[in-house]
Amino acid sequence: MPKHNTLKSIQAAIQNGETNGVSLVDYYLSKIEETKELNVYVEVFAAEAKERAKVLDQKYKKDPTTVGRLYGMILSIKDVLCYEGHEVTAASKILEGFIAPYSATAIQRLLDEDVIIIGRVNCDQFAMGSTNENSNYGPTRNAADPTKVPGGSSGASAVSVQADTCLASLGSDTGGSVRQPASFCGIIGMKPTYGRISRYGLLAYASSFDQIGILSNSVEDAALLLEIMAGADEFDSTASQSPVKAYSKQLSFDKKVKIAYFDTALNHPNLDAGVKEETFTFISKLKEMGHTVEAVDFEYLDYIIPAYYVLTTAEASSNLSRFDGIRYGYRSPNATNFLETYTKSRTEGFSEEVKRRIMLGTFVLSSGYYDAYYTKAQKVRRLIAEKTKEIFSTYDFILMPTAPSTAWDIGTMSNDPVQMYLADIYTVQANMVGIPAIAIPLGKHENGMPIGVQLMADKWKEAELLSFAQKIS
Amino acid sequence: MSVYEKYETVVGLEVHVQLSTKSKAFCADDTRFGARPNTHISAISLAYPGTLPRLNKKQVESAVKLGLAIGSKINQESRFDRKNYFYADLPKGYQITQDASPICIGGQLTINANDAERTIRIHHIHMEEDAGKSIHDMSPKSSFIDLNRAGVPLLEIVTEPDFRSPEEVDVFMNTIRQLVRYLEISDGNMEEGSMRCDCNVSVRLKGAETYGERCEIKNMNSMRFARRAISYEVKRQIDLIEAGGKVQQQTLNFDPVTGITTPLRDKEDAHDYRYFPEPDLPPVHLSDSFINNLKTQMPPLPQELFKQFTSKFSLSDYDATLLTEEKETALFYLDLVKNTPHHKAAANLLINKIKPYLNEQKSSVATFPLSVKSLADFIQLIEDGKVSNTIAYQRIFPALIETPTQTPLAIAEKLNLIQNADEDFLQQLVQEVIKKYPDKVTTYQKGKKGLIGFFMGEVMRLSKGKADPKATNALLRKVLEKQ
Amino acid sequence: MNVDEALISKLEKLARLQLSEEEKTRITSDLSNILDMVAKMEELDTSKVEPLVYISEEVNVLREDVVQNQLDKATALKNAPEEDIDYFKVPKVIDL
Repeated sequence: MPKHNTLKSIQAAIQNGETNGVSLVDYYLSKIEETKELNVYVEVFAAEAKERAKVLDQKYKKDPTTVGRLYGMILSIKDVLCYEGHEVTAASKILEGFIAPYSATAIQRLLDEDVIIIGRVNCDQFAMGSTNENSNYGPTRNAADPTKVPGGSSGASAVSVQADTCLASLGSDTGGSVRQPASFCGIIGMKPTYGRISRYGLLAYASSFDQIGILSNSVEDAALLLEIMAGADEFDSTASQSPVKAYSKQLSFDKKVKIAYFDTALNHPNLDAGVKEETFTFISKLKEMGHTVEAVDFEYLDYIIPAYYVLTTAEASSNLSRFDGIRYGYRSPNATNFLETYTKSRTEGFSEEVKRRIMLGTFVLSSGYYDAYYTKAQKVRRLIAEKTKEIFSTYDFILMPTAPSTAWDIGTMSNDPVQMYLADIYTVQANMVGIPAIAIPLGKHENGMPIGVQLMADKWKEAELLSFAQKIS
Repeated sequence: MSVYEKYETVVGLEVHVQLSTKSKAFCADDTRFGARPNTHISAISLAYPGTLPRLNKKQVESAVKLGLAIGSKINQESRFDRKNYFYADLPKGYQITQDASPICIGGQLTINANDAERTIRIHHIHMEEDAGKSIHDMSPKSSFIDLNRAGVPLLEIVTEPDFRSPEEVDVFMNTIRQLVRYLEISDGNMEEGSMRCDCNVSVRLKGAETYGERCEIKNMNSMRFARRAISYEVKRQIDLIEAGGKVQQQTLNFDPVTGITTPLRDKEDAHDYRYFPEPDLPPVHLSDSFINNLKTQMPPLPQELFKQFTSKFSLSDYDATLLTEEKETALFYLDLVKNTPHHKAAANLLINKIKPYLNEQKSSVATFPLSVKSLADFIQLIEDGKVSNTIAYQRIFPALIETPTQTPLAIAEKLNLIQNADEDFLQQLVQEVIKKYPDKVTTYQKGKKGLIGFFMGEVMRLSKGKADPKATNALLRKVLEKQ
Repeated sequence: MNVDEALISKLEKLARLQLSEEEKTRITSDLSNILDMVAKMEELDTSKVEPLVYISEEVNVLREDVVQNQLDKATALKNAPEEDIDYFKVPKVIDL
């Protein structure tokens, strides 16, 4: 079977009788088997997916107008999304064996359109990390070079698509966790405006930063998945009540646009030369297409990471308090009293990176430090948001690299948290401000690894962002 | 003067009112009291991964109503915060509350205790959620957790340290209970836990301008215990100071069995709650029209009804207190006096006959079979002198309950109870009585005028209650003088 | 920012963690480095800036007061690491 990059091509093949749900599932299952040393899947829903495919194929055969819009779409989901009746662990020990009693709203909406979920994929524990090495299940490997990381935290989501084990994947993006691995793996990764997709059923890392994100081979598939998942949800009070556009139908693009990039970003000392060169080549291409691409000032670039790590760890330290070994999840067998039920379960159940962030978050919220750290970071957040808004009053998009380099070697980033945190420099802005962003592949670096580039748009401008991305990718 | 009289008691309260909404504060679980353990729960109240809070509109409305009732300023832009701490009955590891920006600011309540009036200033009212229940005495090695109560909506009323005696605290709590029942936002039932308070107690020398160090006695769920706890704590603090010691700020527990307060073992860090704004709940912006709409839904309040009953209807404080205890009764009274000008008689009827009847039947004013029009006629019958109070209450009232569609007059006539003031009829009875007791007549004439009561009784008895008392009395006097 | 043993100990208590000696050593130096990185924010003058609290644009998201979506007790207790027929069970709680 040839590799299908779009749902459209799959659906055409189904229509022509060249394939069907069951064949697709069999194909992807064999690819999963073939690539298992990459350590992508935590759990494969083989029997279930086959059964569901069978049912859908019958439905289609009986009357092709009765199948949902996602018939033929085979999806993997990151181990932070609740899928009723299935285990979800956030790649942690503390949730080992936990079966979700409900499905995330976003997932339910996809299921209602007849998507098939083929398995649950690895990630950095509780979405904290940029390399997918911080997992109870061990690291996931980049399909382009298995000695390299796929990025994180939705690293395995990216590889699952990259390695052709599914058509698309749902991940989560709090500081770039969908976009950075997408670029490390040479695929599309998209994070919508904050509040566009309901967070109900997404294991919370940082409540005011988290969004479910989409990894795919094509912009059009991302657009369709977004369209179906997006919209108000009574179970998420922060989800927007604003109407959802038919993104999948608004992908044609004709205009000439104005794009800004930050001098400070593209000339940053930490930016790899090859990535920089490719990015500037891309900028030239955009200019040749007739678009305006200009450097603008953005004096806050180096303050985004400090503010980001204060705010996200603060929220996370509180969000992770519910993991206490009492109502669900892991309870330490070494606990001899009530206090130890907490301390031992949590200490044994969380990885070091997670504990580090909990400690940091606890610190910045603690008495005597709250104003200097948490309030300060909230103020910096406002400065960044206002400056970003100002830029969007003149420009349609902001262009950024996705990461300062291509994928790192496995084992090299885990020793220096600060260095790892600083590598988020290009992606966190979108989460700080709540704007949509998409990572598009830009080809290969000299070193053979994929490079990507990132586009950001103002809030609620998914349609513009997706259609432009479609045009230029 | 005893050493204790040198000091003044100072108390501030934090009152927790559990709301009588159908569902919880931040999720749609049932809130009804008394269910089997862990049956009013959901993924949200159990803090399952991936769940988020959903604010109950009724909680917001209840908060505004309470604020309006005590004269608070309604904060039109309030928000929620997380109070972070670990406890087995706190599933999320934090409580959603309002710390920085509560929904109601200020307010006051005037109470009457120990024959003096005091105005208690309210600092603020905020919305929050209750924790679950931990049971520690069911087994030696384990504690058991019931999460039915986890997430039930609470309003917390925080007062200034304006109380000067345990009695004032008691009266205040009763006033709050009455108020929340009037507003129908809570049943204010301390025994069931729908109202409890923490008492912040300190002492200072009378005349001092600054406050002493305070101790907090937590979770008082009975006013009897609260009064004892406060009294004990005040004495303890005074004894300590008099002995040269200093009161340390502590959180205390009161043991009703031993009657003493003891410190809850606490470490400094345990109280770093790391409040920060709740990111999962948008702020609450209340428009003028939202608030005004709730204003129109406000019932008349107990204190204003009390004033109305004592001034407009000239009732005694005692009667007015009884009638305004429950809103239902007060509103019924208001309805009744729309139909009759006899305010005192109406009060008596309601207090002395109708309420006892309802208590006996274990029913309420809502299902009382008699209409206010019928009751007004009943009262008029008595006022007209057609029947005595006693006959009316004892004979006509029960008959009316049996056949509520009949008028009181019709019933009186049917039962032959209409008082007779006919001169001949009375004369006959009076003559019979004075013929029977010639000695008593003599005694009366000699000056023992009190015997008129005896003669009255005899005439009434003979007439089976039908003799008109006024006419009988007048006739008796006339006849006895003449003898 | 000086990250010392006392601070780590306090944070452990607040977060209900009990780090091993090696973890403590690593996390102490990590926190120190991270806080040095975070200190960069002090360079910005934010004296006249209001904190940004909400990213969502929604206000007044209110739910009608009806009972729904409950979880049945059996499912809830089944997920519990230790339970009794009616309750979640923990080792005896002594006031902490």
